[in-house]
Amino acid sequence: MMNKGITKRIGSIKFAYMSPKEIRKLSATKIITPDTYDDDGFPIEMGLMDTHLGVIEPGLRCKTCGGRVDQCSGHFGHIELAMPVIHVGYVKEIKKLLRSSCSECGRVLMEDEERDHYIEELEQLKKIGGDPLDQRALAKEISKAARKNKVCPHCKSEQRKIMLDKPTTFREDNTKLTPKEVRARLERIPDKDLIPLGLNPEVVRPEWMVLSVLLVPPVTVRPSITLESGDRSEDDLTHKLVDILRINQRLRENRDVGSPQLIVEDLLDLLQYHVNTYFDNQTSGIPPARHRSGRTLKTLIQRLKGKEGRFRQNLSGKRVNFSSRTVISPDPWLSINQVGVPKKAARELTVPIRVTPENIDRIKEMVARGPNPTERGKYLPGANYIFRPDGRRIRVTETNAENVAEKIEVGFTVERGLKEGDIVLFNRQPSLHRMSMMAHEVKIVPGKTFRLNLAVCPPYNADFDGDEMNLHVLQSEEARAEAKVIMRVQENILSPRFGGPIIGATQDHISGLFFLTHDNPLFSRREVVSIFSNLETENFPPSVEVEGEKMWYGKDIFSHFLPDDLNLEFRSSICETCKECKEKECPEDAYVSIEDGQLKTGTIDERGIGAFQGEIIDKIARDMGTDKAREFIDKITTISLGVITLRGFTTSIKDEDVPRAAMRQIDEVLDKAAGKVKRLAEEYVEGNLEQMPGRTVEETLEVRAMQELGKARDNAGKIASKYLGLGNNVVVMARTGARASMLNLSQMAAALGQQAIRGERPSRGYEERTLSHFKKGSLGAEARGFVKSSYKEGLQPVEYFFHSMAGREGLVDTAVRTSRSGYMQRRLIHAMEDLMVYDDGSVKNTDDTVIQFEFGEDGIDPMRSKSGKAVDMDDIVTEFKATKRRGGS
Amino acid sequence: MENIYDVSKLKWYYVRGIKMEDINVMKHRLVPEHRLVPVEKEEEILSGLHVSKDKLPKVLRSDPVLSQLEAIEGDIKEGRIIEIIRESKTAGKAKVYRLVVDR
Ligand SMILES: [Mg+2]
Ligand SMILES: [Zn+2]
Ligand SMILES: [Zn+2]
Ligand SMILES: [Zn+2]
Repeated sequence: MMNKGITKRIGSIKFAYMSPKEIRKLSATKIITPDTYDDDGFPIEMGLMDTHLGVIEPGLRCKTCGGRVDQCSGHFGHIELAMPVIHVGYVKEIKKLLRSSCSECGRVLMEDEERDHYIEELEQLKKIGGDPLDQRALAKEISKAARKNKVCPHCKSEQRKIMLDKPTTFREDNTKLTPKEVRARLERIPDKDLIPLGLNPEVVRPEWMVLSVLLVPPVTVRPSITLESGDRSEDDLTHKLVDILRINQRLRENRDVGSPQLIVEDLLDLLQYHVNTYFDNQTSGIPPARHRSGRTLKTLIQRLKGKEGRFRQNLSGKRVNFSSRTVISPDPWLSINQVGVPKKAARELTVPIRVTPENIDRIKEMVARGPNPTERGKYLPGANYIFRPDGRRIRVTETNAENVAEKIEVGFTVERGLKEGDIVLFNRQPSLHRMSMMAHEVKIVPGKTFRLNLAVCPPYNADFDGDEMNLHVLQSEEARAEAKVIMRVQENILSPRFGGPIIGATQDHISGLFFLTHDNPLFSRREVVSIFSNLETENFPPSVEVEGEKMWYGKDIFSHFLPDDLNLEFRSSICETCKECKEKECPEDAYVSIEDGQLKTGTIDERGIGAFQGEIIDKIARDMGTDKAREFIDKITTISLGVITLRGFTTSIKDEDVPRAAMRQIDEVLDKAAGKVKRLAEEYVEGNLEQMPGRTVEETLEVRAMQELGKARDNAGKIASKYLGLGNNVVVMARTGARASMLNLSQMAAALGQQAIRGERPSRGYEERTLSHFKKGSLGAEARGFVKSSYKEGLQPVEYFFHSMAGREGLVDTAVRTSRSGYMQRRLIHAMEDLMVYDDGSVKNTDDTVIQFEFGEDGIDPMRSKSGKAVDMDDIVTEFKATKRRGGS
Repeated sequence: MENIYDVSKLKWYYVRGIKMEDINVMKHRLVPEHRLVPVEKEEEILSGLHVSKDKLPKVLRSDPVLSQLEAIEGDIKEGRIIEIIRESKTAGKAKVYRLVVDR
């Protein structure tokens, strides 16, 4: 059955070599002169711009088909080469053939029986469905087997070794083989002997790999451009073809007049060079051909290959309309489902609306308002274009709006600007997972940036240091429906990557909820009003009476936003994992217990509402639906920001202050460790260091030193931490998971610790030492990159140097990692892009071969799993307890 | 076939000097359990999987596990089905099937 719009269907594609005969048949004209245009600017007959090859200038007609610029897609021509040259693309194949066939009689270098056996084997391989790669591998093996025979079994002539001088020169022992000789040898190989060597003689003859005729692409493939000055600028391919024609002409003349062999040979080599660079201007072993300006020419291979090549840039790459890109900025008052679109973009991006009897009046009214309507200064969507059923397009302007509106009929299509609530796709590169492109609802905002809620930063991996994002406007009703159901932000709260929430609070959201819930503080009426002021609500949590004043507990405020039937128990981020958890009696208020929507104990922090780990978000999204989850995230982040705004939140260098006594203690610990390392080094020098199993003495020393110094840094950090409690904002951030870590803090307050290069202490630089002012062979802590200072104290010059070494390594590593993982990703996607999960749970590829019998072996959708597990036992226990508490059974 | 080297008991072994035929790969801790599916049961299994034989993943006849299986089951022709029971991180045990092909 033919599908609509498909006139022809490709049955199969066969790849073969082009014979000289075929090239001449295909050619519209022979090209002989290197000149392109005559003095009047007209293309010269039998030149490279001959109008038989198609036309690029309007007004001219193609001499082959009579078509004009937009009708004729061009025709090939050909150049008769004065002497044959090797085709660079086939040198490997030619080498293989020359080596496995007889230099005298051309037969494959094996007995007929052996040859027939191999032909049979290839036949068999094809029958069981061996793909072309398997066939090629077998053919390669066969030719290797043939090469082993140093004497031809047919004519008994001795075979000499054939070498390839890159890129295109063949040598036999030490005599050069001319392309002509190569071609003669390839011609001698009989058809049947080609089969075991992997060539199909029905479509291919090996001598075609040596060029005697060169195909010239149509001018439409290599159009010349006219500069403002009136000068013509030719395409790189044309330049290269001119070179080939010039040398070809000189070679023919010299050969015909019988010039000395040396001159002819040189010219042949030059012709070979030009033909090589015409195909591939990056072949190793020869200098690339350059433009007069010094720029390397882009020839055939360069047009196709690589990221900017025809395949990846133009065939796999698609460009679209109805999209825009700008810088992003945060907007905590937006819902996670929304995206802020600036007016300017909203006017330019359009949605097509079909005019129907139902909407015609409204549409007429809208169009009559013109392209940039406002209502009391507020944005209103306008219409930019209307399309008549015959395809004609009319632009709506300020002046013609009313006229155009009158003419609108049912069946027209009107392109209107965005309005609030429109569904659009929002995307940030690199698009590494499906949450990198989600559907948002439009909200018109002032300014020139796209805005998004901070809770959707994690899935996009976005921040606001200049990041840009793309926005695409959906153009059909089906697309909008589909996007709304499966791509909307709230439908992507749970990630299929790890079976937990990927959308949730970060940074200040987490600190804010810590201050709201930790140790259950009381808030006054004024404070509660301030906290709630950004929320449109008339509902307030229950209050308590304290000294005659109405007061509110933080945990009650938080519980106000929890669904009534929520039951959950987990440990907060601030939990110190005591040996024996006292659960609800935790002195740190680190055990969260929610009973029927009431936060009884515990502090809400990253483990509660954070992206990646938020238990509460996870539970709500899983059990109560995405609407509830979205509502919860929207409200609780707003409240959190209310709290943190009220309290204020800052950090200064004071937060790294540690009492003098503690600093002395830290110094002691560090000095002691340095002393220990010194002793270890001495033991090593004396030869008394006890070797660890499986390690050399040197390795033992390094491992023990690293251990000692690592311990010292940890201990220094611990001493500092003793004086840094939850009254310190940096500690709050680190412990709640809002930002940074205790390690960062101890590096600021106590000591930086050992700097590592490739996981080891720095050891190179100068002879037997790292820096010139250390003693040769010094192995102590200071000489091998141990930093006693903290960031607050400031680093000694030598310490700073080691720190820079480690810092440089970090930068290089990230650069290398991202590029490598990007390439890995490309390959993985390519390998798996058309696998599909069927309704019986199996995973199959496009020819229905089974890849997995059951998706993931367990058939579990990771998005609906709990961290990859199908069953969440903790949750079942909590729910059971809740049922019992309610007196149920 | 006599097994000189019992791989299951070796922590480290050196490939040099040991012939492949002397190693029973089926005893290796990383090689899952393989079974030959009886011809009578093939139809049942294939219909359960909703696939035809040629759409199964393949295993080569030259696979070391197959030569071990042949020692027990006798000659295994092209077109037979092998059942593999794998330890699975997600499902505990997972059954998969392979079609025997020549080579
Ligand atoms: Mg950024
Ligand atoms: Zn034409
Ligand atoms: Zn011969
Ligand atoms: Zn605890």
